[in-house]
Amino acid sequence: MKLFAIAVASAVGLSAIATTQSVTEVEPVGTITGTVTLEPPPPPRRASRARAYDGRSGLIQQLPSVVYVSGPLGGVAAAQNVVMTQRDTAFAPGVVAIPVGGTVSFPNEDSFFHNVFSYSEAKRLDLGRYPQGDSKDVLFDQVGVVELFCEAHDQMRGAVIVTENPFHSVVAEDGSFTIAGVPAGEHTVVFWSADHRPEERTVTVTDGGTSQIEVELKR
Amino acid sequence: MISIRESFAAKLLSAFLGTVGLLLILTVVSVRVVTGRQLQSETALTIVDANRLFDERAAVQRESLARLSSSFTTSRRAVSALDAAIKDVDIDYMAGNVEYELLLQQVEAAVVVFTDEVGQPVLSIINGERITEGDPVGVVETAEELLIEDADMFSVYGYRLVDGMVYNVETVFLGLGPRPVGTVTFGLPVAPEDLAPPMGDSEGGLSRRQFEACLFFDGSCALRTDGVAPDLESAMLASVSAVEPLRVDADDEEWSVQASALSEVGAENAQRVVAVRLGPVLAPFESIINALLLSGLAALGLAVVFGRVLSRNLTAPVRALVDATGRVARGDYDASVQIASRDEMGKLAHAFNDMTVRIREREQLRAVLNKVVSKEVAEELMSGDVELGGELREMSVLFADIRGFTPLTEGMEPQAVIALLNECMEELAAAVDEVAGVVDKYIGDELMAVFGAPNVQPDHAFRAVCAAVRMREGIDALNRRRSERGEGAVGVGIGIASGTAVAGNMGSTDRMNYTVLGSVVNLAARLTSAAQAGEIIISEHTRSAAGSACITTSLGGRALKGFSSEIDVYAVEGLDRSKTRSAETAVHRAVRSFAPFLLGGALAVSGMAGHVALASAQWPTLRDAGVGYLSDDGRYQIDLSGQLDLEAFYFSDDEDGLSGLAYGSGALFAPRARLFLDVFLGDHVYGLVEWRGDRGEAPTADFWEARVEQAYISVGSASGAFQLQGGIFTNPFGSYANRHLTVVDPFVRPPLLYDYRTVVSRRWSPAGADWFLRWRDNPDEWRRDGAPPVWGVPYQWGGMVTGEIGIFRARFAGMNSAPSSEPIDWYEFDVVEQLSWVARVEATISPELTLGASYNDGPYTRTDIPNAPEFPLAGTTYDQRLWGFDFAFARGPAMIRGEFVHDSWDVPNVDYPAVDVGYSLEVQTDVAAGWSIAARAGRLDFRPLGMMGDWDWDTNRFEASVAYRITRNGGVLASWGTTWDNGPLDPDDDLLGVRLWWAF
Repeated sequence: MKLFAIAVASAVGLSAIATTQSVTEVEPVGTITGTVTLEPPPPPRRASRARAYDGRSGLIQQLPSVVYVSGPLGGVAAAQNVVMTQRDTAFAPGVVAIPVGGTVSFPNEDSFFHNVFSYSEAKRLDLGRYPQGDSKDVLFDQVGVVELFCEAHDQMRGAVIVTENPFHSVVAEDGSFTIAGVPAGEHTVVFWSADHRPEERTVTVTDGGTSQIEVELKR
Repeated sequence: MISIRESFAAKLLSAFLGTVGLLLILTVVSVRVVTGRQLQSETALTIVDANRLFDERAAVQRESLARLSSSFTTSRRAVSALDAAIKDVDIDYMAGNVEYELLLQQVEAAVVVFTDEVGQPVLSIINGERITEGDPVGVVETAEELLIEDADMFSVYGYRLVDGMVYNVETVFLGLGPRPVGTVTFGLPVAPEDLAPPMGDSEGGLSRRQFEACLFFDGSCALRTDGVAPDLESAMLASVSAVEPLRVDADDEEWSVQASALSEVGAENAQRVVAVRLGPVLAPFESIINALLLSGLAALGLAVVFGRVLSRNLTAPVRALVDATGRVARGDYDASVQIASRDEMGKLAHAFNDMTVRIREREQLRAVLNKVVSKEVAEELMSGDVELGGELREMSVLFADIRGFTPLTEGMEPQAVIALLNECMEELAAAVDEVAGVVDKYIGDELMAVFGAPNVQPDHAFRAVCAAVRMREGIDALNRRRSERGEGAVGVGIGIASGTAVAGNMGSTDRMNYTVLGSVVNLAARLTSAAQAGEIIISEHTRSAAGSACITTSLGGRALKGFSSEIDVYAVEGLDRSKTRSAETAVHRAVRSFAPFLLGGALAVSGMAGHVALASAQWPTLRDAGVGYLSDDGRYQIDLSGQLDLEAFYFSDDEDGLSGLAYGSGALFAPRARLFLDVFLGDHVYGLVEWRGDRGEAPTADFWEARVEQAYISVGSASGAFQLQGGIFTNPFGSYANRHLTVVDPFVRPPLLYDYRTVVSRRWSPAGADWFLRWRDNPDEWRRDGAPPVWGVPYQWGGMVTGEIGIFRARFAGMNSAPSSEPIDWYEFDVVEQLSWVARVEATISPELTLGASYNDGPYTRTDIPNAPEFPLAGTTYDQRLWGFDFAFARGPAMIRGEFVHDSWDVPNVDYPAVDVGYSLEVQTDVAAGWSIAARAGRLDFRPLGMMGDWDWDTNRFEASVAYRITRNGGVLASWGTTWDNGPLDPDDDLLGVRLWWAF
């Protein structure tokens, strides 16, 4: 547990340093901030029969939304290692965003088997079943959203957002987000949410300025 | 050709043929009725079986579908693959995966369709063929329904027709969390084996299966069993629009075809049609009918031959007798018949010959008598009881004397004198006859006539005067004829006297003479002497008695020889014709002029009489209306009658805490109408058909149900001591009065509310149970008497023998009913396969007291319900036995009846039978004109059954009724009944009934 915390902290720290470095060294940068509103989910269905997939749909792991700037920007970020733990029958964190070429480790911390798989075109993977303590690494070499599931546990869901640049933000629970150090200029910003339709916005970032975007995602 | 009406031989022959023919027709009709019932129930059962089979197979297939879709959707793989495929527009990758999965699952000939989140198919796989365009299976609509936000279901079953094959499909919602991703549809083909078991799988593995089936989609056959030929298929299609089962001929077989709609999704216009083979059901009945017809034809042939021979032999003497009788009728008393045989005909001929001899003697006597005395006197003498003695009568005596007879006949030949005398006397006697007088005697040239004796004639004086006037006219006419012949005229003097005289037979016992004696006779003779030729002299008495129609002239008083004082005498001039006419026709005229009033009065009186009759004697009947036939000799009779019962019930049935069964409270109108056709053929053959319309056999039945209730034929021996009966009739066991709980069926309960079928008492005995001739002899004791309607219980078919020796009468019957008291066994009675046996012996100890004992043994479970889980006894027969004693004591208008019934029936898994005993006592009596009351108390007691305890709660019942007979054939009845048991909550059920009945 401790080890994992350190790993996350270091990863976040490294990315922060990298961002700061690029801002000071290369060109003028600004901040993109705003809020994402999500259309509320439909009412849960009443199960008609006692069957495996019935009635569980409401129990699926809820994932935070992610805002990221699309397109190659400011050079390719250094390859990073990110950890997505399987803990308490859930992916933790549920969503990670990594630059293309990054690797994500999937350690199993539960006392039972998990089996991570994805049919997303950006990365089709099936890690097979593995027990507590094991971890498997996956290299994400294609831009796109990779939705992850566990073969053994229906309610588990995660996503890896493979981006072309380091500018992204996981939306907070209150819907707010901030992406700092975005190079000035006109950019396309993508808003992703697991259960909503993705939206794109064009935003102009000025040096030292803050661009505000309000987005509502529809189901 | 001799018409039937005139020929005894033809009558005999037609009676023979009619008996055989009617017997045949009734039997065939009975068999037909039973066939119809059997066919109906078999067909219904087979269709139920077929539909159940189909439903079971569909359920099994759905389970397979559920397993399939479950295995596909247990993990997130399928849904995430679909999600990814839709998002990434890469169907091929997923299709490959799906095909691989199907391969793993070993699913063949299957349909798989995936749709996206708006219901559009993205991938269809039909039997391995991958289709990514369009909606070849037709799932869009169902998918859309599943995908709408507030749908409360996850899957929908249904049928699809794809490439000519019918699939059982399930469409399942696929979602990721709250987000719909799409749907997947799986389909498995429906095979002919799902419609009907394959050949060789049916009972015994040998026969063809009982039915064929077909699935129609939008009017064309999508799936059929292998026995469906094209013409059967078109007949099946025709049945789709029919409500009732169709009976059709197709493929050289008979079928009953019924369609039922499939209501599932995708099969809105689909029908499942079942065609039941009737051959196996009909075959035994057909062979019975064939055998019946063959034997019937043979019997008819024999009847013709025997009838002809017999009738010829029988009628030859009859014809001879008819001949001879005709001759006698024409006055030929010499007719005689020669018949050699010593049988009844010979005796008859002998008697006939004796008779003609006697008639001949008598006629000779009559002829002689007629010549010497008057007709009336002759009649009286011929009638035999002639005695000496006389009686005093009011009468008139007339003498007519030929005047100057001696000078007239002087010199005439004696023959000519007699001829003249006869000519005159004939004329005179004719006048006497004309007014119904009596010529008493001829005295030489004188005639004496009497009026008012021997027959009483109140107008004797008038008649005598009329006769005298007619004599005068007759003599005048005679004289005219004589003068034409050149002969001399004859004169007649007439005298009439009236009064009281003695009339009678006088003389010795050897030789008697009817005559009159008295002064009236003397007076008349004296008056005649006083009369001149052509004169009519009458006494005062005669004049006043004859009335004003006589025109008379007073001749004053005359001294007559033998009379001390002078007598007032009158000469008759003539008759006042107008007055005469009016006197003669006074009554007629009165009738004529008052006819309208009389007619009106008669109508009024008869109307009142009719009204009175309606209120007191009898309501109209079919017999009154002339319906029916009765042969001249009374031995052949066809009688149509009926009874209408308008009955309303109010019932109150508290909820039973144990069974929870209760009808609550409420009212029920339960009218019933019955029509009886009685046929009597001679003294030995009787047939009855009863049609009945009522609410049906169960209280839940439709408001009206009509059926043939009884149809049987009885043949009895000459003495009536032995009788055979066959057809549909009531069980002769006896009363079951105690054996029904209101909780089962509270409505089927006459006459004391709870009776429903045979009752032991002869007085209450319904149609089938009693010796039929009793009915004809004593119709008042029977159903015309308002005997209890027996209703609501299906009668059974069977055969019965009744025999009577001394005071004992015994019956033995085999019937197709269960002895059970369970109503369900009556409703389904015709599926009881084995016969039950009923025996009953009655002893008439005295005219008042009858004792009876009954025994009934038979199966009470049905053996042909296959694998019905709700019927654990299916396939096994369990017996039920009843025995009982009863007595009936009737004296005058009162009757007491009691019975004891012991009932035992086998119970699965228990070594000894369950037992109940029922007993009851009943009293009926007439209390006043038209009023009668009845009451019954009874109890049904269940014996403990080992560890199981009592089988049911003991039940007590009390019933009472009051009846008033408005007319001989109609009345009202009010009744009340209550039952209570000894169960923990001890509910009681009450039933209140009011009935108006009319036997017509």
